[in-house]
Amino acid sequence: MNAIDHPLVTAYLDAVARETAELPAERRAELLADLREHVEASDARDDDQVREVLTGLGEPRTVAASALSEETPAGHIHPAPVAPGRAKLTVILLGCSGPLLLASSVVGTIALIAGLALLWGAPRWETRHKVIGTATAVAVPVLVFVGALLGAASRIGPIELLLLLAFSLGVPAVGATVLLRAVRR
Amino acid sequence: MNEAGGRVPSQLRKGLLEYCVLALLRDEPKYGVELVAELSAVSVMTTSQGTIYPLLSRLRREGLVDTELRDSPSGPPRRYYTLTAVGLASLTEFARAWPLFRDAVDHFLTDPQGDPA
Repeated sequence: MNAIDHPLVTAYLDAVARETAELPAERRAELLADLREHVEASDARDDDQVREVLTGLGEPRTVAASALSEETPAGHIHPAPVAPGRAKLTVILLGCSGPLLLASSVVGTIALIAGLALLWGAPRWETRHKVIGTATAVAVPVLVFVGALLGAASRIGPIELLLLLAFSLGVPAVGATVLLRAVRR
Repeated sequence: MNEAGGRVPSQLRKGLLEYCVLALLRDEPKYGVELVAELSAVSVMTTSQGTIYPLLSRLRREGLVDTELRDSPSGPPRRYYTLTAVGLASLTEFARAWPLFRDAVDHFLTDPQGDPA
């Protein structure tokens, strides 16, 4: 039996995998492949030899701690990236909240609030981007509200309607583009 | 806690081990298991061999070493580590600085009140 199929080795690798759950998947796979290669190269034949190789590698916890500390060396801590799916959802919600608000104030408001919550909860965007995203997204409801206050709704003509439509499509779209660019940088 | 596993050796290793790895690669590429074996042959350098692999991974990401797959006489291809130009520059810088630090530490340990050498 090859050492790599030995139950002690399997248990060891499983323990390292468990302890490194926080590592990026790629880094974790690399570490496990390295350890596997180490065991394979050792040519351990019986239980005692396998035990000796694993003891030499060190406690799974020690190896995992070393991997985690090499991942974020002091002073080089990077902000956690936004999960791509989450970033997209945030941008879509904010970008569509304008036209949605015009179509249905309830749906639009929900999209807007959900988008803003996702935006401000994401560590990847800087405050600057969050402010831009928020301003462009709330511009549409603010405009509609102010328009209603001024009683403009009663005198809206085709030109005004067109302008309102362009505004509610364009401004959140600009904000969404800024947010997307910030994540891709 | 044995001599090599205490807090002081562990702190020292943290700063020095990577230069030992670079030094081992100065003359020829080596594969991971080979590097680990050579480091562990000097007992003070490593207590848990498995911790060297994350170090190698970081050195690769920082561009100090490069890896290439080579066929092995037996079994699957092996990942060999080579020193890059950046790695060599880092090693050269360390080799220049190290004797000064070593002498300074020795100086304070042996004769803290005396004149600097």
